Amino acid sequence: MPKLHIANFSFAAALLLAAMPAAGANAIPDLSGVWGRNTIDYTAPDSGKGPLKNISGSRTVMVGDYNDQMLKPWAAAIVKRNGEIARTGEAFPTAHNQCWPEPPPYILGNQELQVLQGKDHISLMYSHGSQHRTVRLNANHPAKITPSWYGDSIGHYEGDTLVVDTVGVAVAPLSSLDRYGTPHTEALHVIERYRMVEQEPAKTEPRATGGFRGEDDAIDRSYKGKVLRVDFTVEDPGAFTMPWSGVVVYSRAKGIFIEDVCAENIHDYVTGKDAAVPTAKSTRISDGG
Amino acid sequence: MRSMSPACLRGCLVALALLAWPVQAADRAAPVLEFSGTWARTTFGLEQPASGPGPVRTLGLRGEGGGNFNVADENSPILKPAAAAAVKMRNDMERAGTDYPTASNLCLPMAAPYIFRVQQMQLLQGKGEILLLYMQDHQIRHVRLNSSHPAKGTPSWYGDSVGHFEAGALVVDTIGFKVGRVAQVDVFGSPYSTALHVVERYRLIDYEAARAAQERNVRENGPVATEQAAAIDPSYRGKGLQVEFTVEDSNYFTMPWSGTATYRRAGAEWVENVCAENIHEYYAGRDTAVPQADRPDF
Repeated sequence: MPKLHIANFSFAAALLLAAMPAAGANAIPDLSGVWGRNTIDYTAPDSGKGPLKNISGSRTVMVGDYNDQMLKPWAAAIVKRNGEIARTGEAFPTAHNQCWPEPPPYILGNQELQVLQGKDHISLMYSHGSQHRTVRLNANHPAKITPSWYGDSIGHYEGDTLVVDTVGVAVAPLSSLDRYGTPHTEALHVIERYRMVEQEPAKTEPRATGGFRGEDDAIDRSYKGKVLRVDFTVEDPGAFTMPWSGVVVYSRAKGIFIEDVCAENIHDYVTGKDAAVPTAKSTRISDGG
Repeated sequence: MRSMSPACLRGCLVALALLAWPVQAADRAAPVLEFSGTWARTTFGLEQPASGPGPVRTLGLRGEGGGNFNVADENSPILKPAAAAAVKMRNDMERAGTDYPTASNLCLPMAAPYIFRVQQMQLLQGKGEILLLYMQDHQIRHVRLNSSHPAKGTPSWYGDSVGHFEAGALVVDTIGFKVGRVAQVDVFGSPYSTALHVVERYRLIDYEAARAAQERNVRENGPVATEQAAAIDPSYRGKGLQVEFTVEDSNYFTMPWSGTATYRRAGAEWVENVCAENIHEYYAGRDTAVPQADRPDF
């Protein structure tokens, strides 16, 4: 039997190498999966102006720093008003607790996020109230946008990062960008950058920024792989004197995607207890008479 | 020109085989993707099966002050007495002009097959999971592929859904439903218990079969008063998506029963549909007169 010459193998190898895609060329970062957080705060960016801080001294009392220079006077007045309500022990109304959609970046406070990467769009699904944003890939914002709760989001990949650009977020009675009820205008422009990063050495969320415990902790603590980091920037010359940024880091979520039905939710995540809602032993629908 | 030596040819063939191998392996492992996309229906009602016991039927539309409602057959043989009583209660309320409380008008999650009343849905293929998105209040059902129901699950509104592909169909099996403030499997208020078990089989069908199924559904259940911003693409002549489903719940039904829901390719954009702020009375064609203030009080 004729022996295969080494040149034949070399030729075959050359065919294989020529056909293989160059490493990294057109590679899309894999951001898919179910991601969890156990706090609803933002952390400060690596540089530049960061989000509002809580000045109440307690993670259970939502008082945003209304003296922060980034707030225009009318926006500062709303943050101050909300803080005054919070200091009385009451919860001021928000899109989150009134079961309305939450625009970015506020929606990044949801406990779980599921990322589904399609060919021409990304689906971002959130656990609170079953919310869903669609990011159209490699598209442009329409020339005329009808404002909506989630706005119009377009995205593209830059190397290992998914960049999402959102405009056209409607102003609603409870519009807010953070847990302090910081408002916005229709000039809101949010840029989010999603990428996978190595986990930092294990540490729990600092108590000062909140942190759910026990069954409300959405994170798989045994997961040691890469995690999903979102750096976002907010611009709104109608509400802010300057752009500001923040960071949210998700880890792998544990268990099955949380079913969090806002319309019936009685769980107080701050105290970890359910509110004592009156219950009936049996149902009785009105007979209309 | 020198011809290729046999050894060289063998080397090339090896290379080509190696190149082709991952594609073939991927094809065998790849799920059926053509189910993906956005699909639309034209009515709220469930379609009767080709044979066997089917869903509660409507006895006809009754106009009431500009609106209308379908009178349900409360004597359907599939209903046990407690279920028949619930359907009768719903009929009586609608006759009296009182809107019957449903998961749809109370902004609560909808169990299958009731959720097929939502007129536009997206089917998305994820890693090890199918996601079914419904264009009413951003509802999302998660179907874990090639998985099992947990031995001890926590009942939930949508239940626990597992799925697999079988002979060109996506088969979804759901148990573990919780019974909330409203618990209904159809638009007539047929109730369910925690024993509810729903099996759905999604299959692509020819355009003519899909069109015929939808036309039959309109004849059986009547047209909708509004399309919830959903619309079928009138120019699309490709396949439709039909889900055959079977419902079992021995607490409320005398026997398992089946039905279908047929979708065609959607022709409308996917829009936000926010139940909590919706003031539109679709049956009266007007907005509810919600009190408004010129400026905030605080």
